[in-house]
Amino acid sequence: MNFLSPLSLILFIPLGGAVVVLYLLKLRRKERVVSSTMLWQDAVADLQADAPFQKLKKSLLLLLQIVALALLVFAVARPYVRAKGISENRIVVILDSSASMQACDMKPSRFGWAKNKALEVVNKMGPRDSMLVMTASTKTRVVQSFTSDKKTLSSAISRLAPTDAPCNMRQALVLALSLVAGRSTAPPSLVIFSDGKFGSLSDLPVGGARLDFVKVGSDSDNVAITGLDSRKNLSGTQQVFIGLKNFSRRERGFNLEIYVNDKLYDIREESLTPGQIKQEMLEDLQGVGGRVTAKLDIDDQLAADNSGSVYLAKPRKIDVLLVSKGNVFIENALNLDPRTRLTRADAVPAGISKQDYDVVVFDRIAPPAKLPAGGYLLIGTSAAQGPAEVLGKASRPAVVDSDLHHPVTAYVDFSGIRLAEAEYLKPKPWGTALVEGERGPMVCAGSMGGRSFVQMSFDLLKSDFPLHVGFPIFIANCLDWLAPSGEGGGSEGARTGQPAYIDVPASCRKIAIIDPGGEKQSINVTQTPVVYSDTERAGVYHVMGKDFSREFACNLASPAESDTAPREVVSVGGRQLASRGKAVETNREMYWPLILLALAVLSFEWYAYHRRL
Amino acid sequence: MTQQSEELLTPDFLRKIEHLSLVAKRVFAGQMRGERRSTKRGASVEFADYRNYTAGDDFRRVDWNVYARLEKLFMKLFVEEEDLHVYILIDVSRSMEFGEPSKLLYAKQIAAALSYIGLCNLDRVGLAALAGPSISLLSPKRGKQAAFGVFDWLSNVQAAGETDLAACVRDFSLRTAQPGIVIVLSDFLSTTYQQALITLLSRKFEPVILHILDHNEVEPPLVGDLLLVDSETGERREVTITQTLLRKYQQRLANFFVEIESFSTRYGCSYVRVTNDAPFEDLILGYLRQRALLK
Repeated sequence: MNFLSPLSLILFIPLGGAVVVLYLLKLRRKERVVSSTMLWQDAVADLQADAPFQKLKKSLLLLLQIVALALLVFAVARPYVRAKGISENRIVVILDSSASMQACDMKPSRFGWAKNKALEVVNKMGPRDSMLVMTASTKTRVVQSFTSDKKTLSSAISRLAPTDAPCNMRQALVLALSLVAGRSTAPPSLVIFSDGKFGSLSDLPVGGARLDFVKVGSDSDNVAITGLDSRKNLSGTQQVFIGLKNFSRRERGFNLEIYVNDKLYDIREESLTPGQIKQEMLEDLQGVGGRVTAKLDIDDQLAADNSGSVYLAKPRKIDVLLVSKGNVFIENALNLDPRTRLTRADAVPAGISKQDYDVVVFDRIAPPAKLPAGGYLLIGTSAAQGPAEVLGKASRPAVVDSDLHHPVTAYVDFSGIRLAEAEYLKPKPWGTALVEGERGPMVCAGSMGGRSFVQMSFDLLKSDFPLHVGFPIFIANCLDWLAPSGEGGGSEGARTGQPAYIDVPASCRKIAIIDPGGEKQSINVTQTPVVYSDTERAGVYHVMGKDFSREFACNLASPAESDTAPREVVSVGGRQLASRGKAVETNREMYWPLILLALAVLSFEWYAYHRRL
Repeated sequence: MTQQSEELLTPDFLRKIEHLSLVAKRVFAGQMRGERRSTKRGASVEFADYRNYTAGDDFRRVDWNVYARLEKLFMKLFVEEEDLHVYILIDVSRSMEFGEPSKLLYAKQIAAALSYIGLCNLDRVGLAALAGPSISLLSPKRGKQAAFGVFDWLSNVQAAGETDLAACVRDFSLRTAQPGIVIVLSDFLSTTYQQALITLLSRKFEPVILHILDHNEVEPPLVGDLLLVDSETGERREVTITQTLLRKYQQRLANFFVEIESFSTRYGCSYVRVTNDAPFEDLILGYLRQRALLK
């Protein structure tokens, strides 16, 4: 037995002392004259006292009062015992709802088993306890706020379902701790039902909260697609990489089935030893576009990681309008890309629209004030709707830095470029500086209102940039970034739980998304690309809008989730939490029985006093 | 009869007890002729014994019939009847003031009744009030007419002080030469009562112990935290009276009764214990006759 408030035990010393002193003090008694005290002599020999302070006598009443006082002081010290079930004032149950909790090594599944255990905790709640239920996957959801109603809690837990997303337990614990902070003096109790497939949280400050970890899961017998990616080169050749890993303790043989647009494309027989990683590559995909799906024909613990999809952009022409009074370098660079279909104009044509051109290049010719949606490359000029404002001119500026991570400037070396003159820019809030000169940015990019811009502040003819190796790469990058990806574009599949960026036509104001489970969700388009975050299901998501339809895929592709071997010990807040196994032990406060016992003792004392026992 | 004596005994009750007499286990020598058999041989009509004639004997008591048969002179002896000395000792310590009626009043009524019975039977009745280490003595009276004086004396007896039974009885025995029945009326709440009774026995008195108790002493109606004050000594004792303590008191009281009864049995004393809630007339007319103290 431990005490939540052990210092209160000190109260017993002064209070017990006071009770004893009251007994030591001479009692004011009623005076009765009797004929003789001779017969009382033997009877009162041990009871008489003449001094102000009498010797402490054996007294049942004193003993009972001391016992009652001791019980009350014990109750004030709030004793508790470790007992099965929960008896805290505030309980937070965190159910790991990540993909690995779908593993079927527990019956009916890990998540189902965890739900049953959580329901047991609900049933063992004390009358004054309140519980909050939350799930932790990529997103943390509070499915039931603090309540003492067991029926409501049971109903909320019963409705829960696992996701195909990785686990973000840190976020869940931070939210749980912030919800329980300062609600009462008693330390809260956090119970985590999980297979432990989350990173170390030892740096997370948990304060006085008591943490219980219930391990869910017994073994790992899983083979997974741990990676799925596609790549294409300038010649249009596309490759698909498929990463496989055997997380089980035995050798597993299975078929890897490749589908292109739901039509079987290839079957490969695989056999992986325990822990073996294998990379498969599909190279003969020339001219293939659409969805490429990889499936493992295997019966293992986790189904969510047995398939994945990736999209290959259909090779198509990019219509480019070059508005220039003549620039052989840019013209050659655009023609170099086999995807481009170049149109040249000396002046801004009247009524350019997005339907006509995917990318418009303004070379030293100012674009009109209002531009329709589309991609625009501004060379040596600026636009009112562009990503940056011109602040001033600089002569012979040197390039100081460039963003190597942005798709537009990736693989391009700007360091050796010499410029005769350039304007320096001030990016707008939605613009990004890609190349920095001595006095400010010289190349900026940004997307706003369906328009994408790359703005160069210098004239190509007044620099040696066209002569550098990086120039055609830069132009190709610009075309890739500025041209809409088109139907089936977006070669990388999104990860479950991570937001998907959906390009929609600028005219589209509302889209509907049907997730792999068949649930339809309507979204109002306020910006492009549309950010869609409810991607907790692995599979294909269909996006529909007015005169517009496309799809994207979300894959689990998480080695951490696919490794279904549960962890016995997790590290949270500097503590090593060992699993409580099947039973959750918590602090069960014992003060109510003590108070009732003290009342019983006091009642008996009252009875004894009046019966003169 | 005075008003004070009327408080003790009513005329009707006096008439009822006139025919009673005190019973003495032993035969005592008296002073005057009376109605009690004496240890002396005398002139009554009741034959007692024969003895040889010696020169100088009264010829009138020679049994001539025996002389005719045996030709020897034998003297006829007759039982002498004399008066009996009855002493009534009343404990008048403050402890006797307790009870409703008070033990002292109860004792005075008993004393008055026994005195009247004795006086009616031509016994010599003396009374003594045992107060403090000394006594207040009423010299033995004889004859029914002395009853008024006895009653008056009893009426004037007041409770006072602490009784030392041994000292009082020693004083009484020194001042009283003639042996007889000594009726001691007391609550015997004294540590020296045995010594007192032994003193009486050693002086050839026949003690009759009338142990008078208040019914509240037998079953004390006390409870709670009390300060008990001894009425005689003023001694104060703090007690918390519980059921346990009351049981201890009852045990102590029972032991006290056993002790005094054993003492009486061993020394041949008559012992009668009464409580003041017993009707007085029933005590005299019934209980004392049953116990053969009166006939």
